[in-house]
Amino acid sequence: MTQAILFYLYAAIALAGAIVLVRARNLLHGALGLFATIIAIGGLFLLLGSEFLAAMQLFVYGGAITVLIMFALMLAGPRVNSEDQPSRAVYWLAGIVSAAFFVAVALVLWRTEWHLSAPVVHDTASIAEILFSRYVLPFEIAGLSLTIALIGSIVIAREDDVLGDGTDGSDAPVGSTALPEDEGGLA
Amino acid sequence: MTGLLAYAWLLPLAPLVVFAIVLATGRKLPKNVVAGMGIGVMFAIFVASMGMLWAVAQGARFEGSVPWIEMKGVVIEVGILVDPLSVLMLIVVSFVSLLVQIYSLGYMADEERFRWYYGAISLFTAAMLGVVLSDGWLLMYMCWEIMGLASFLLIGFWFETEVASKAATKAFMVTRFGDVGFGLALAIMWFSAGTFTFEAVFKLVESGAWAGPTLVVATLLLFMGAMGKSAQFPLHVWLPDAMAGPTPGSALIHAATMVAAGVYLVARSFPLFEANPQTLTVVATIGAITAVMAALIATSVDDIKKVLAYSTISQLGLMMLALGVGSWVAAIFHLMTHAFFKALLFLAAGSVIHGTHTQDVREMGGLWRKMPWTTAVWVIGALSLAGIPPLAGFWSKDEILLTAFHKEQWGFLAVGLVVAMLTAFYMGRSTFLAFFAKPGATSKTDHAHESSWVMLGPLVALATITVVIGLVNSPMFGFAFGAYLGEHASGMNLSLAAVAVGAALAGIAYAYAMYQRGKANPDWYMRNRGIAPVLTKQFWIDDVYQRVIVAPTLVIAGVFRGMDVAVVDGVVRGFGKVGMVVSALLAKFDRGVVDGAVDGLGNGVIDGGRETRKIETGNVQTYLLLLVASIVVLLWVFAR
Amino acid sequence: MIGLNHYLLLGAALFVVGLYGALTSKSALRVVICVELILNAVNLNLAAFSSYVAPKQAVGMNFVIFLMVVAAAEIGLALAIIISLNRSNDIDAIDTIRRLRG
Repeated sequence: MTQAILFYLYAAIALAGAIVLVRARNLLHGALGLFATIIAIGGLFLLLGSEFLAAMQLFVYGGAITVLIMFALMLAGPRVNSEDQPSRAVYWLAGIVSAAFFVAVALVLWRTEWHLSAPVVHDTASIAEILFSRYVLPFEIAGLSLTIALIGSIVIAREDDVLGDGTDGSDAPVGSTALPEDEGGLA
Repeated sequence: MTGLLAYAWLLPLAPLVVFAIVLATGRKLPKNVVAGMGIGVMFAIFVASMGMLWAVAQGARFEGSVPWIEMKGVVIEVGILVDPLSVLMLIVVSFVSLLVQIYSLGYMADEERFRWYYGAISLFTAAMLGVVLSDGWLLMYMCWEIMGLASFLLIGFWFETEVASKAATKAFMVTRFGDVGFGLALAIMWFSAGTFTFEAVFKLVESGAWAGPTLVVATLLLFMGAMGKSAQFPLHVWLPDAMAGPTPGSALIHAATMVAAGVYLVARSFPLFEANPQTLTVVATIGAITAVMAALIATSVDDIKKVLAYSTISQLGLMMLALGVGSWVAAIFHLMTHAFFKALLFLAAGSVIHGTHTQDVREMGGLWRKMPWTTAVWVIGALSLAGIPPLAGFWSKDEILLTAFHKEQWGFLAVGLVVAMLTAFYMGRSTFLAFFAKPGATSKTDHAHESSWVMLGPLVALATITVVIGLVNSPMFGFAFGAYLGEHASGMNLSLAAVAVGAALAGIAYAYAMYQRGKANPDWYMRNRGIAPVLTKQFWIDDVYQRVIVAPTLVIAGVFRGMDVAVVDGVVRGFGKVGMVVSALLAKFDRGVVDGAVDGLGNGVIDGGRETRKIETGNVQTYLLLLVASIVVLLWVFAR
Repeated sequence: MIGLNHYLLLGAALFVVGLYGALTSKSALRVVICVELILNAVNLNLAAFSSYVAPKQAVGMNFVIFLMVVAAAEIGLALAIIISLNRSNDIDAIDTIRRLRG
């Protein structure tokens, strides 16, 4: 019973946060919505019996990623916060497609017979056991790819003349060539 | 020495490694290093082959295989077989390849893609060694195809020219057609015999466990593969065009070795063919038709390489004839001697082309003063091809005629004699025109010069071999060749030999009268309306292909194209429109670019193909939308 | 009693909301954040499957960890790209970035 109450509570927070993220005019509020969702999902991980994942969720998402997003928001300046709104048609189209997707997934869930087993509490040791035995190679590769991504982001975001050719190392032609093309094309 | 045989599988790998190195290093290695690798490896293979010859001649034999594919209850093995026949082929292939590579040092020296040339030659040699060493048809087929690829690469070596690229494609397509037969034969073999190794299948055929229509069809299909590779009528059309490649490559692949692989295939599978007299008749008949037809065409061709190409086709036909009348030893003997003297002729022709920068015999003449060495070796090769004793060609051709004589196949014997005469005639014709006749008005021989020794060396070596090699199956050496391959000596029939030599001399004399003494000028065929068109058009076979195969294919392609335009483009247009509608919706807020959409819509109706790209708006969100919509549709269809 | 389907439905709902946001938002930054939400939804599904369907082995839990790594890498790169675009071209609106156009 407690479990059910907690589940619905967390689910409500998560959904509300998600909707705030999508609908908030100010992106800063949206980011806060995401933060709420993340915390709620962390709670759900606890309900699912994995305190390690819950902790990770808080550390990685709730801590690092949210802070990163906030940071980017501050850096990108005020323009990001005042976006112009897309047309009604886009809302409708996206809404219909999203709703159809949800219905389709729900139907699939409805019809599938799961072979359930009794839930087990996953302590940190049991996760670590499999992570460092069976999945040790993916683990290493994940670490490597994270390093690569880190270096990549530094190179991309650097402001000074990285390439030594007078450009600032970022992909300068992206917008400048794309904008004029819009006139003739179909968009 | 016997232990050496077990390492024979290394032989094909060595040149393959050279090819891999060339492929990997590109232009980084100096030319000399690349050529040195190719030549060094080939020399080592040749030496090893000679060692194996010694061992095999004393009765040693090796067969070893490893499992390659293991499935439920099915094991397919690949392995090597070292027996007298394969060792003989090893020696022929490695020796000719060695000399050709040395020769190419001079001939290809100024070539931009020098390294690539050596790489392709190495690839080819590796594949050919694989063909002759394999202990079953499956591995043979694989190497056979690699060989075809190497041939394609070398014909298309100067792919910048349209002639070369078209010739390469043609060669590939035509030989592939034959290879389809080979492949089907393998399938039949698998279902009927359940194995691909020579020994096992031979046993099944001998015991009668595999007989009947499937065996007949399998042999006919195997022969089809041989026809494609060995340029037998009606699949011979690719070989003359293949002369667009570099001459030393032609000497190796399209004269000495690869085209003989078809003969080798039939000789290797001979127990299968022997069990089917009807297939043997087909083989002999095709061989006879090819031999006569190609010899006739060769009398009218002016391109010195094409003369040799048609001559090769004709001689391969003769080998097929020998197989068909029942003597694979005679066929292999002729294969060996032919490999040496035809490589000699090709390399000599290359020397001429190198010196005069023309391939047209009408533009040559009197070359013997300027290129004495080339002339000397060419004459040796030509006399050998014509069948003048004691040169190699005499002995092997005599062996074929003798087989037909013993088996009382009088028709095929007559064909052999006619071919002998025609051969002597066309070789006399090109020899006199190019080397001895007075240079004509169109002659380009003023600046002709003798080639360097790096090219002449291999020529002299091949000429020496051509003089002596035939003797291995002569009474003087007790028909050692036949004994080596395990067949009883068929002896020698002096009167038959005399008739054959007489026919050859008659051919040479006629050529002398016509071309040296000027009784007829080189345009004789052009003016003679009776046979000229037939010969200069090569019996219209290419035209028939053009009309019967190429043109209908184009028509069918046209029909499909029409369907494409009507149906597929319609669908594409539909997609285009969907994309446009979606895009148009997004476009409304896109700084009012609506007229662009309308324009695009108009164009979409006119030109559907161009419109599909409009789905690619570049807008990630459109992609995402379409992606999710597609998933929903798929879920609806499959999970409903 | 809360069962597997509850979690899966919640995951689907969060996924769809994130999808809707990614489809409708004009700000590249918001799209990236919505993608994070989608990844979270997937994580929830994986964890639910892990504890209900195959609780003996913690495979799904491990997948969640890997997905977190991927998400971290993704957001780091995406933010770097956005900042870089923003600085050099003064754009953030995602529909003006269309180099992929055919």
